[in-house]
Amino acid sequence: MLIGVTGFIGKVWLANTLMELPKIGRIYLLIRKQKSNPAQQRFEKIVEESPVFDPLFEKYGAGFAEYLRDKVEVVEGDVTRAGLGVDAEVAGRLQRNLDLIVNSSGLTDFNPDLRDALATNTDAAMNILEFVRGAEHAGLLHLSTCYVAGERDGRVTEKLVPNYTPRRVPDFDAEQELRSLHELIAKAEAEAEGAEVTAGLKSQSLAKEHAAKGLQGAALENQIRKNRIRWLKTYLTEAGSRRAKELGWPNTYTLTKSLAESLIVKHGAGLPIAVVRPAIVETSVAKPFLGWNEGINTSASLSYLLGTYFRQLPSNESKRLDIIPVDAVCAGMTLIAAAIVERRHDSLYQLATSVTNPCDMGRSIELTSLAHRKHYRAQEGLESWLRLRFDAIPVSKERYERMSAPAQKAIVKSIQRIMSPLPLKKTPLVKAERNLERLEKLIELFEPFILLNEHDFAADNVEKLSHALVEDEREEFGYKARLLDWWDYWINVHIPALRKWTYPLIEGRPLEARPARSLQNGETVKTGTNGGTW
Amino acid sequence: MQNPCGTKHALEPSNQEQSNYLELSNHKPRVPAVAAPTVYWRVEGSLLDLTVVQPVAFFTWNAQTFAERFRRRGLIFLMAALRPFLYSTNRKFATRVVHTTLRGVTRDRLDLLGEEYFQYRLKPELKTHGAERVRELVRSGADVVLVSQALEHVMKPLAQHLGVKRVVANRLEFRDGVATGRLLEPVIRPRGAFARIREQSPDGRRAPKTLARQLDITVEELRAATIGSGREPGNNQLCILRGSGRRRNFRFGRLWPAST
Repeated sequence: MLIGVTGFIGKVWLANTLMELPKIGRIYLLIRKQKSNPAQQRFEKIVEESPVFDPLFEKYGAGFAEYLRDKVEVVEGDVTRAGLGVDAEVAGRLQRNLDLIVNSSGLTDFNPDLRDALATNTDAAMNILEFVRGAEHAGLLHLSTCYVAGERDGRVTEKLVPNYTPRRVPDFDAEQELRSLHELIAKAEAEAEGAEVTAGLKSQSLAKEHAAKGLQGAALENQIRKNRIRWLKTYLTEAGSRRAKELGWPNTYTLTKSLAESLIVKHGAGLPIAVVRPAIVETSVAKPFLGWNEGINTSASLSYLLGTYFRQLPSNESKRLDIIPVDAVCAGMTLIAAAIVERRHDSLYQLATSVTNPCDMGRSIELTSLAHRKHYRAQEGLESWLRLRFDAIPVSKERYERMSAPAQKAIVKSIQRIMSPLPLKKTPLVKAERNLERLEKLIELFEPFILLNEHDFAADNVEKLSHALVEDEREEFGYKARLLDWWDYWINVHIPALRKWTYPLIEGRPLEARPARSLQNGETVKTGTNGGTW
Repeated sequence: MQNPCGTKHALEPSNQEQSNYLELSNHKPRVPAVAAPTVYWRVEGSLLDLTVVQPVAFFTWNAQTFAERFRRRGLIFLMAALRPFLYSTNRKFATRVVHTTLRGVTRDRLDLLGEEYFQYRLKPELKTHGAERVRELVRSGADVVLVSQALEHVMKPLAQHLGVKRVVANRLEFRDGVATGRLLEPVIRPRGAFARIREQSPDGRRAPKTLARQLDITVEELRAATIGSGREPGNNQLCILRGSGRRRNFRFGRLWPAST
């Protein structure tokens, strides 16, 4: 059973598995209902719209729906609920039949609302663990992230440390931490309903600068309710982020993922479980096809920035930017899945390149600039001519603050101050100031990946699995992150893929139009456990 | 054609060739075993009127930082002033001196700029008669080797464009993916002062002995200098011992497979 098929890795793993292993028995997909959109419809939409499934459509043509009916079953559920939110009868059947649960679900926003992060990244893992415990023979492949290592330097080995904190906080107990975080949430929710906060929110709603000034009655109550939701979200986002930093994690995402790992170590003893930590998962090199990427992920915003006139990126040149193609991650997952089923697995696998095929920040920045250069060189016009001459360079934090965005922002503010006595309708350079602020925040967000801490993530365990394959299978199922040629990857694969799939989203443009396709083809194919049909 | 990471590019060599290069990552690429007769083809005169300085000047002008660009361009102007004297004294030495301006430039940059230089500067000036003859030779099954005084970064895209699988070109020494400014032996010196008048034929074929004599090397050295036209994979560093101290990272050492 695959949990998290709507995510980047989940989709690619499903598509690659269906492509490479046509003899696979059955894959159950646990998908959450989204308001009025049932799980079945969500999956249909994904299959019809996502380019990930292009190779499968090409291979099976009109028979693809039939193939899916044979191999895939959608199960409506919710990992954040006990028993995975699945009907008891369906749950019983699954627990009897399942060989493996692949949990690739997660909330990958760096600093989300603490409630969401805990529910999706930590509580969900516990629910899945309980489900596995109740299963007859199912194993669990739990996807985490290499960056649970947090604020520490040096080699990160493939060893799970119970109750881990990067700052090595003595007597830290993950279970106790989870409890206190839930208490914090409950307290914040109570506080949000309290008289003091309500009064503050009311005055905010009635404030002169507020858009909804002069409200009364139900409209005012409604506005207060909206403000309360916003207040609580901001409060819990900040609280999560603050707590993560106190313990040595760069953000809430890594804190909650690490808590899940610690709890799995504690409660999963004796169960067939492998924790898999990919590094920064990026564009595919072969499967489902060359150059697939999705959404605004870790490197997209930064690489986009380096394609503009922005030049000085604060970074540690020798720090290794650990990027790994999504198909390498999926190949690793398949190997690990097979190992779990055969009970020959290790407890932790890191899917990373910083040790086996390192590419440091200095090189990554230069390759990104060169990739942009290649693009702009092929374009016409003054803008492109100028842009290809602005290569980004790695600089120290001090130089960045002295010469880049912070300094420019200070100049903008000075200009605004000087011009403030003038009778102007609008404050000058407001847009420039806003852009620079946004830029500063972006850099700050990515500092753990580009400036702070030097991690070298060992990835020996998956290499061993790959090496153990027979020669014939190694070509198709082998783990080949070691063989990546970074020059080719950045210049001809990754940045062009981001330009196609991600930069339009950053710029607020629609993605390239694709011909519509349908699974229907005149036939209705029943595949869903809960009665969904195609 | 597909490279080891599965990417497909028209300019890439075949799987087999690429895997050969991979085995010797950062070393001189293994020359594919070829049974067909070898034809050495001098690029200058027959395919292009190429000087040593032009591509180097292009590389220097496109260094990573603005300061580097001006510094290197200044050096190029200095070289241009010295060049007539150096060229008339010793063509090999003159070639070495010009390439010292590329010290500190990364292999990544040179590979991309080489591709760009070929695509936008050299390709439009490619002599059609000469190019057609090379293609005919390749089609006939001959093992064509392009020989040029230019850097491999420029010659490889030309070779790939013409379907040629091997080249003899000047090669920079790299450490940790960064050019040291030294040229590896054998240095392919420019043609003589009157070559532009004497050697303008579209037929660039040269007998190995004649070519070796012109380059002031032995035939064995010429054969040994032959490299594949595929791009070499980048600089993989192997960290042999690493740890973290109280205040900052320390590193006992890194092992760099010599990229020569």
